[in-house]
Amino acid sequence: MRSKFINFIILFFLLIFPVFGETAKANLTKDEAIKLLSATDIVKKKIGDLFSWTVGYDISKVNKVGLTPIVNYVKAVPFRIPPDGRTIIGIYASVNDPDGLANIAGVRADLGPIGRLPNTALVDNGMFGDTKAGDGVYTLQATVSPKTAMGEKDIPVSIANKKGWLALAKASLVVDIIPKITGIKSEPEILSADGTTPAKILIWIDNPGRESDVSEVSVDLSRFGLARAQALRNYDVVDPIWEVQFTILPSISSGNYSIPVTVANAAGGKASGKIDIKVGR
Amino acid sequence: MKKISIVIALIFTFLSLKSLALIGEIGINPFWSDLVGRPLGIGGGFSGASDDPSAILFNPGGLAWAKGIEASIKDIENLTVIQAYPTGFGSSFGLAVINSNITNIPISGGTASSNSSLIALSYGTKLSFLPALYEKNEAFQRIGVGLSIKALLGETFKRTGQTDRNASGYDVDLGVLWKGGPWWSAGATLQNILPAKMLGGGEVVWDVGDPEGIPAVLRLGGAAKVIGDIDSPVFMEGRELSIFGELDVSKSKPALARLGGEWGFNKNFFLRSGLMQQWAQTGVSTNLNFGAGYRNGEWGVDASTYRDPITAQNLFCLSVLYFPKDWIVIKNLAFDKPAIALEDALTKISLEDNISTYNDSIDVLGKVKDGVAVYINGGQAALDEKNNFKTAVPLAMGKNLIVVDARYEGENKTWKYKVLRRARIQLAEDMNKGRIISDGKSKVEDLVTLGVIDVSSEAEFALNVNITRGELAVWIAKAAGIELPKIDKDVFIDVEKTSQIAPYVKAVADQGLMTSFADGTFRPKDEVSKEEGDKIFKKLGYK
Repeated sequence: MRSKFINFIILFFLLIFPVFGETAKANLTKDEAIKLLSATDIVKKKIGDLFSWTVGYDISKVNKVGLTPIVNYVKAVPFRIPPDGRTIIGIYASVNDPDGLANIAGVRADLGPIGRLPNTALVDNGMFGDTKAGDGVYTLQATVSPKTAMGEKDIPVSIANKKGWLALAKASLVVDIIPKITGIKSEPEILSADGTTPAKILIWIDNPGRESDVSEVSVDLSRFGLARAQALRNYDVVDPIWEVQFTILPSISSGNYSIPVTVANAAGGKASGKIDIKVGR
Repeated sequence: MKKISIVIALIFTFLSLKSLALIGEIGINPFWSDLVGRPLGIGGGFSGASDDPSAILFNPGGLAWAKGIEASIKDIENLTVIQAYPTGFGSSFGLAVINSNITNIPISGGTASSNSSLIALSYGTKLSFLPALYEKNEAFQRIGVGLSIKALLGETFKRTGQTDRNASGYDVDLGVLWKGGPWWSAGATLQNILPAKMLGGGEVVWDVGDPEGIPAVLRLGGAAKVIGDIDSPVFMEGRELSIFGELDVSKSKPALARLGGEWGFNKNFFLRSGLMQQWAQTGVSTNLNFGAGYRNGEWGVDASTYRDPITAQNLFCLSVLYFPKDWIVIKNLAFDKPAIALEDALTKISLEDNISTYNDSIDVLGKVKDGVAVYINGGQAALDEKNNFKTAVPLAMGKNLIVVDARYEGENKTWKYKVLRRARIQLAEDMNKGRIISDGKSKVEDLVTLGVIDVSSEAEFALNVNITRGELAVWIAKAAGIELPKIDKDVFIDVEKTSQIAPYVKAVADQGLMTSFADGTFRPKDEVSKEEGDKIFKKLGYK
């Protein structure tokens, strides 16, 4: 009986002591830590301020992180275009979005300044003048109304994304019919008046719209005893160059000659210039 | 700058001045009136602000934005009534009637008195009549120009022992006001610019004796709301501080400086004070003015104290204002002008003030009047054909301010909405059905929202696990807002400098909130005992 009692006492202590020991070493749970932390004066004040509608709402709380679409560039090609109602102008808008291209809802242009619809969509579907679908370059092809006045025009372009944000840009162009002679030179620099050495006059032209609409480029060679000559487009080079070839007769004296050049285009625009040519022996 | 100086010099050279009794000797200029409550309260330097009907007297350029009626009274014989009447085309007509009676003016050999009636007809407009400038550049949309024709209907001047004299005359003011930004403006007014006898004006014509030239004055002023709404340099909810300054230059008199301020409460109550220099018989008098104002919708009252420079008396001026909302000559716009009417530009919006949400963005839907552009937090909202907009505005954790800005032809009006984004957390214990979770979840949300505890929205947060010393160090450092030290060496043997918790551990150790062990370790992975936790939180202010 006594031994049973001793065994019971030993068993009791074996069972109870570890419990007490654990209680003594009890650790703090996150739940308890949060309650204690929340009960400190400093956190109570912070929580009070957090839920106050009159404290802490200042300019720094305005979240301005990337909301609107990104415009890489907007351009009109060609930059100069005649108001003939048939020459195609391309409006190109390269865009992106903070949430990716898929978030672009649409790109629209106001073609009112060139006498067309005020709210016209640009596309990125690989059709209607767009070179590649889904590359973020939106394209619109249009013509300039013949009623459009000459001068600089801005085409407003708006880019909207699916979250309702808008970016605005402008494509600038010039409505004009006057061709520009951007360069003239002779080859060689000093022409030989021997009747055999070929001479060239090269003419660079910036024509509103298409270069194919340049209807006439002529050089008045009467100072060299020759007729007015038509310059021809040299398709062997990429740059739009017009050339006229001739020889200078031996009867022409050495010296400097001012040779008139005229340009006309299909839109009725005309330009004139001149080149000073040196003739030698 | 040189050109401007030459122009100003030419203007003053061009003007002829003849000094006679009223203006030259006594110092009274019947074409000059400051008797309006608000401008007096800020010291009279109002030409750079001129954003109410009193623009007629200070800078008619400000009429482009003004409308309403203002009646000011010093006493029954000194009364100013002003009216600004918008046309609906970004311009206003103005009419001012000023009756002034100054008595007991001390002069050598007795006293003098002056009784005058002045009427001013004004017109102020934005530059919309110059479409090439106005439509191309927004800066030009914020310029107002104006003209006032002032007629002295009758002036009776009495002096002891002398016959009464009567006079009349007229002159012209020109003004320009530039609202350079949403919180500041600058203005210039050329007052009494007509040279004597030009077009029959430019002088006071007496019934007896020679006419008297009216001194021209150039008023250069500026105004800035340095504390105020979201578009002011210092944003303060429900409070605003505006400062005003003006320099008055005249060929025949010393220059005057005027400087004042206006402190506003809740857009209703205003306290004002200003240093006001005026021309007096003996030179320039300098006085400190005080004023107070009240605005409530279409009505307002202003009161000011000031000192009359001629009689050297301290006086009191009371003004009553009325800003009728639907008062316009030709209503050609979808909404009323000027800026006051931009309140109506936003016809519908889904937001309310003081929104609490768990979402990381909030949809803002609304509708505006034709021609109005909407900007939300600086980004432009896309409008559909019916002028509706719907945007998703991202929210940062905690407090967010959403600013909706309606813009129309250089004018803008902003609305602010406060949104609190709370952290949404997923407790591991939530998944344990049948177990009662205390208010611990709400507290965790609060601490995560405050940035004390870092839990991603996707992760589960377990409450009933023991916290380690390292975790507690981070929480405490963040909760206490302790500035984190720069770590260039290991903090403890077991807290290396590259450890993410190193700055937090050092911060709490430096503050004595948590201590290391005798062996030089911090033991960041050890769990915190309750006894240890009690000590730490007591140091942090837990009672």
